[in-house]
Amino acid sequence: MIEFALLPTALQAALVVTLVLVEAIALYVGYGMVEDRVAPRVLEAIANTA
Amino acid sequence: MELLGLAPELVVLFVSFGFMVGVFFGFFGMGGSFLVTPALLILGYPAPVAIGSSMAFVFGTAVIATLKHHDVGSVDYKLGALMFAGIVVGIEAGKLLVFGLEAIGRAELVVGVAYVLLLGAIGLVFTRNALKQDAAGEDDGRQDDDIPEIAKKIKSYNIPPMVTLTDGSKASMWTISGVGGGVGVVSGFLGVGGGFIRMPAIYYLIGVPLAAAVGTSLFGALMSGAVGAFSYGLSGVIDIGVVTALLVGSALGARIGSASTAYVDEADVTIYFGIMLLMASAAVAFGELATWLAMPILDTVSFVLLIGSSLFVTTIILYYGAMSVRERKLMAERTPQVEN
Repeated sequence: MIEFALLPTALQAALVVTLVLVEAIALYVGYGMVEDRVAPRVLEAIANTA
Repeated sequence: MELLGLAPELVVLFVSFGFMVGVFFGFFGMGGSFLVTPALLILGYPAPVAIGSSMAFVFGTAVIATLKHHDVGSVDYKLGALMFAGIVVGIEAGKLLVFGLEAIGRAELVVGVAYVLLLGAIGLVFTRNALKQDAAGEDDGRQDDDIPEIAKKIKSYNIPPMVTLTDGSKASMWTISGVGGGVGVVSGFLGVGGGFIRMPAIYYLIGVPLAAAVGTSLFGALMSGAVGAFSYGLSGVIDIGVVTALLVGSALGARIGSASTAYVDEADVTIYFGIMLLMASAAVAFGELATWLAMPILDTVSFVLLIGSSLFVTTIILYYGAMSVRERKLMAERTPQVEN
């Protein structure tokens, strides 16, 4: 478990919330770019599978 | 070697489980969080850690869902904001209950039993509705703008202070706070977003049209997740490694689940989702029995049931999706081209 032991508890909790927020936005943007590039080819491959 | 503070096999497990949960969330619009807390309990995490980490996961998932829907979603932000105070108080009450039970060594038991009942009840509702749909056909004729009779009745009681909602209708602040607080208690106690209660509550009790109720409930899940993650974060019980691994999987799964709705008829797979929830209920029950009877084999049964049933329904959705993509391609090839 990652802890920010030297910081006040309220700041630790705020950091956890901020970290999750940043992760969620980064994953949304990152997977969005992957989807734009890969999804048409994946659908084509599925459609052409015998 | 550890990754995100977890053993590599646990990272693979959480990313995979997150993917399955994400597919359910993207496809059904629910089903995410109320599988995470039971899974963490079955894996032996203490109840406060399981619930706190699940709340942080709810927050991350709700952020992703809100980003996905913010252009098309119909959200009553004013109503969502008005529920905020109730959500804060409710989540804090739920959290106090968890820590109170933890202090007397009963948190895992009570939360586990609550999950057995909750998953069993929701599973029964889904299975019954799926069977009824199969027997009676599709549409119930309900329009998105309709407001149920019970909501009209509740709205007719003008208990001040009354507030005007975005659609121009009025609602009592007591009803709004009651919905926010009531769902907040469930969220804080079980570590869930609470959409499966909040959405019907907004629709039936506050009287917001169905389309706006779905979007507003999502906004409520975001606030619940943020408040819950902060509140449990104050107690230092959130395992950020678990949350990150789950989010990595669920963000991808939610995209695939959401895309699958364009290819798969929800009615075809709803019954499997209902059965999966019933099996998840049984899985938590086996987990509790494993502790009571000191039979570790039941823990294994519990784990296999939860992961196995989730994997089965994910596979069904992906299989139906792939079949539909192929059928459409074949139909497009068979249909003669019309020249202008």
